[in-house]
Amino acid sequence: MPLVPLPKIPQEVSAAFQSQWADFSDAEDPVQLPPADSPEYHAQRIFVLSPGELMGAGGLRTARAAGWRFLASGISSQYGIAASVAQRGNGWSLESVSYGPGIDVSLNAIRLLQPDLQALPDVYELRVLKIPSLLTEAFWLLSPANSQLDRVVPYLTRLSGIEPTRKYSEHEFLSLIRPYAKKRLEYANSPRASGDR
Amino acid sequence: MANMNFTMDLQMGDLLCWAAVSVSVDKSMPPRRAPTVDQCALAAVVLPAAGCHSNASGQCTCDDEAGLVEGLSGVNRPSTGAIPPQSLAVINNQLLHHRPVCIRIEWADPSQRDGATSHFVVIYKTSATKVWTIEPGHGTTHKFTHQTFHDGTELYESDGTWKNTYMLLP
Repeated sequence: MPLVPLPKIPQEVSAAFQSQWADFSDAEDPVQLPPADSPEYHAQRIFVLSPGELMGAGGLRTARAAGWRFLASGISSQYGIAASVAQRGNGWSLESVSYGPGIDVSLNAIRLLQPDLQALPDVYELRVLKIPSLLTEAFWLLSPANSQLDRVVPYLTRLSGIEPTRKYSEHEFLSLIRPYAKKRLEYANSPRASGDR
Repeated sequence: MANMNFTMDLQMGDLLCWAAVSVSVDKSMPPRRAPTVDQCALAAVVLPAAGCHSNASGQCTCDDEAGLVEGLSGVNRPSTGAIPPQSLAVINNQLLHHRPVCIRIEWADPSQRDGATSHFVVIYKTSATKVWTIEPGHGTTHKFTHQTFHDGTELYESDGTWKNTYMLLP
């Protein structure tokens, strides 16, 4: 069994999703959330990295836990829909519902890559790594035994040179993405950026 | 409650969200004018680079960041400039007048003293308590409770905060 089971979804996370799901169900949305108790949902633990963290020496292991995402096909739909649950103060809250081409890509990536991931020779914990400011999302295969064995499988990105669904070592992935992170930081730290604010 | 018939063009470069939002806003607002400038033509006007053109894969050869105020000015859609997040009533009023509401999402960078990065997106729909945003990177719609989106931090894509609003002028 090459994939370590996900950490058990905390009871408070499930409870927040179940109790607040109805508040986010709108009949006029083009994609409809399945009921919260549907077995269709893929629960994903989300981690985020900023450009500055990408440039640092800590690499992927500096990624911050940012809650959970419940991803499924919409009711009677081929399209994906995602509900995000995050910690607020001492509790958990359903904070957003998302749909559109980017969510469809995320859902397809799970379907396409899961058999591949199961066939990997090493033992991994499956995480979702978001680098929102670089519009990039990836599976992060975290090796509990050895960080040198970590793998990154990007599936949603606009960055040229990064091939969706290819498995990268941490070193390979960081080498490819750091120039983009550096460019974003240069603008963010420049006087030109102050006009946006 | 308001719902604009709004279509967001995907950005023609990984740094061109400002151009995609500006051009999409221009296309969505009356009076419709032809020909509407495309993202790459707008980039040629706003950015210091020369010789911008679309390549074979539909990407603009000038791929760089700029401010949304510059982008909106470039398509002759004047705005208030960057102002704080707005109430649901104000947003409703804009949408009812066929003016999409542009906002800036900021991702603070814990490793940097300054250096926050940005993404421009549009609020195009509201209900009694919710707002719908659409973004030009991947065309994703996000729905939030207005109150938590307005008051909260790190809500957008797990980590981003609504920092500024750009109201289009009549």
